[in-house]
Amino acid sequence: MTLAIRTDHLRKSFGRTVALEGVGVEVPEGAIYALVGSNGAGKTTLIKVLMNIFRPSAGTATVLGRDSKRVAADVFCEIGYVSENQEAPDWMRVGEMLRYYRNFYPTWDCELEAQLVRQFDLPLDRKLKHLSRGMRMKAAFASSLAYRPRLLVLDEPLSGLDPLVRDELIEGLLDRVPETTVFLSSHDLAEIEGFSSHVGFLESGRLLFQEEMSSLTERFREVTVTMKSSAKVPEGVPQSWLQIEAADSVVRFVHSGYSEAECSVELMRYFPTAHDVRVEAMTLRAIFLAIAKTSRGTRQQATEDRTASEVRA
Amino acid sequence: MKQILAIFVKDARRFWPEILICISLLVAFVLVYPTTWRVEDNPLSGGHMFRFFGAQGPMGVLAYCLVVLVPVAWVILTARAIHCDRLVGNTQHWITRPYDWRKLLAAKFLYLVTFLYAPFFIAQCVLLREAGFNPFHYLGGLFFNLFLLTAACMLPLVALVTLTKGFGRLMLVLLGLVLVIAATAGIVSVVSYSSISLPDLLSSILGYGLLICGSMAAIIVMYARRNAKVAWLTVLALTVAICLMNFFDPDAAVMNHYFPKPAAGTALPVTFAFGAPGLSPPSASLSGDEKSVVISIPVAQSGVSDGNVAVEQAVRVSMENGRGEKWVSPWEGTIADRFLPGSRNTWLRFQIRRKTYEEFKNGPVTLRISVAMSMAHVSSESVIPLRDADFAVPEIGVCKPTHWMWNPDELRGISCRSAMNTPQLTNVSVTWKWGDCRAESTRDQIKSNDWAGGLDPGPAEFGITSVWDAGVNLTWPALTGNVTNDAQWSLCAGTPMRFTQYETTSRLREELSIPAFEMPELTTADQLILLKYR
Repeated sequence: MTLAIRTDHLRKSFGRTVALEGVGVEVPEGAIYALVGSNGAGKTTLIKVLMNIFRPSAGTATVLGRDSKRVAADVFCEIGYVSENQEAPDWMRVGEMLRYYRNFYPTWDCELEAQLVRQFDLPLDRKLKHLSRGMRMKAAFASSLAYRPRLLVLDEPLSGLDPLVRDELIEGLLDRVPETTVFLSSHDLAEIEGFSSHVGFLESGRLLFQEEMSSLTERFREVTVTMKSSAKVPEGVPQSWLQIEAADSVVRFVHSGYSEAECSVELMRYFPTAHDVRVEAMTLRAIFLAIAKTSRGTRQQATEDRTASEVRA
Repeated sequence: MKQILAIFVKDARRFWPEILICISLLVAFVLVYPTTWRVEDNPLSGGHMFRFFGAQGPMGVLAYCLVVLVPVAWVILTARAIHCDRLVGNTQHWITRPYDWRKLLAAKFLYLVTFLYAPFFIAQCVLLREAGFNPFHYLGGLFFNLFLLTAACMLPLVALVTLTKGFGRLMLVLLGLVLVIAATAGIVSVVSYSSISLPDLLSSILGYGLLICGSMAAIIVMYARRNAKVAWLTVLALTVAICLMNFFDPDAAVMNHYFPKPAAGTALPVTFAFGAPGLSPPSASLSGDEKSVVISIPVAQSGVSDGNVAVEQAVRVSMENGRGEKWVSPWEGTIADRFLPGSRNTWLRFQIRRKTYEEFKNGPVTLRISVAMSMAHVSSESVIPLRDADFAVPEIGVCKPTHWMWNPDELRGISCRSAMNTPQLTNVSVTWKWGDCRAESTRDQIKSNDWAGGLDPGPAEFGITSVWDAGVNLTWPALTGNVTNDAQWSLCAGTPMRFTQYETTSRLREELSIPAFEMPELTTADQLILLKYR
């Protein structure tokens, strides 16, 4: 599998603040990789390291086979970058901006440019500063797609956009795949759920997991076991059972490694007197919440253990 | 090249108002500045209105305003163009586009060459032409002036612009820089007591070298790496180094090397004798700020051979009293007295701190004065009749007669315009006639002379103008020594004027030792006036 982006034990700190710690991202070519995480998780920092805007404090990052520290003009010919925080040449008209950028890309496709202008309904004679946020984002997309980049890096490209614009942008994006690998960040699971092929979850600067979207939704299930009498959480349950809780006669948990055959055996073993078992598919949002809560719980436990051992010492 | 041109065209299209204003101001300067040369010829802009608009009239005021406005417009033009693809920050659109930093830098350079350097160069040529010079004869000077503009202004400015996010920040940094310079100048004036700087031997080369290297380093660090921390450190180090040069003048360290003592046994090209008959007594007076004392030592100067002149450049003094206490001054700049062939009485002057003066004034001291001098020899001489219109003087430029303000029909001297720089050191001498120019003279004539220019002028003096004025005041002996109520000295058109130009031949250091020297008492201001008119 050829990787468009790969990071290995990537660390980035700003003074004493650690923004990224031990991040290992792998983005296969042709994928639409969604990097998800709450605000402040480190998504933008990771993207800026990949774009050589920031230098990593430790570890390595490779973009299209090039060390991120060496990502320069020649590599940017193959990369499109759109960010919600990016400044645009506001004083230019849309058409002027597209004509200006043409000079920088040997692979600029004027036909594709015209097609994107039509597709996004861009007003060529309007200045960028007079455009709405959605229009500006569409102009940025057009200027980043018209040279058929091998990699498109999008930092929160869809946040705050109305559903119509969002759909238009996603449609424009999907037209370019698999010719273009897409790496995008978002804090909104719903907006990436429908079209991402891969997903990575960043929390507090750490990558909790990354996986193909299909296998992720396949292996996560919400399991509800109803007992005949009052239920309690059994001892020594598998680690793949997350957020296990018991209330009255019901035990609920999230199974993070679900397969029908194995799960039946496990349930028989831990709940031999079960009255009813329900196994339900989960939304991406529910999966992420389960993982995030488990991760926070584990971290809190680790902190408490460490404090306790320090007190004892 | 495609990228360079694209960025260049983008900047030119965006900043056409700034470009237009810049070029308009320069055009206005080129139109207005030459009127200041002709101020006496134009009564509307000249003398009659000088009370309200300065000696050169409203056009002169406008010209001086433009001298300020043109550089201000250049700062704005430069800052706007560089800030539009700014280097500070991480959200600029261009940093994730295939901009090659070398091409971006080249595009900005092309922009400055096209809209700042080229118009400036053309303006300088037009001014030369207007002043009566052929610009093609001064290409070296013209390019040298561009080099000085780059080294002293543009590179440091561009370095600061690259380090700032916008024009407001740049203004704050420039204000900070002005405060640092003012503070340094203030501290230097307290620490040092000599107001005249040493001859420029090393400091300008070192200063320009530091400015060029430091600024270029900061610019390249910003363009290649956008590493503001390293670039700021470079600029700070550069500022500190240049400030330190004001405290530790590098010229002082090389004075002995540049002004060597003549070998033992060789005849001194100029000699000073203290205590010769007919000399005034030494005097001491307080400097303007009353922190130091100016000691004037009367000496009989002789020994300069015909066709030569010795130009005093700096002095250093050592004093030792009977108690074995010794004080040695640093090298001090002087007012560049010129010692001519023949014998004459003159003064050697130096400053000492008042405290040092008080320490050494009670009792005799052994005084040693080292005088650093440049020896110059006549390189050319020409005699040109004074005309009541512009006239060319070889090696100097174009001169015009100047008139008495209260009697515009009478000549009083000349004013010369030279190209790119003040001229090589030139002595101008002329003979004044007693009485009306049209009548036969009944008395002896009187000679007067003045100096113009300096030794070893470079190919160009740094400035916005390519034409420099050198006033020659020929009235001094005629007025101070000989004018009476019922008499009039006249400078007549057609009078031959002698222009003697000198060129440096050597540099040397001479020492005058005065044993058992008694420090003179401080002279009051009234006594000083009496001494002057004695």
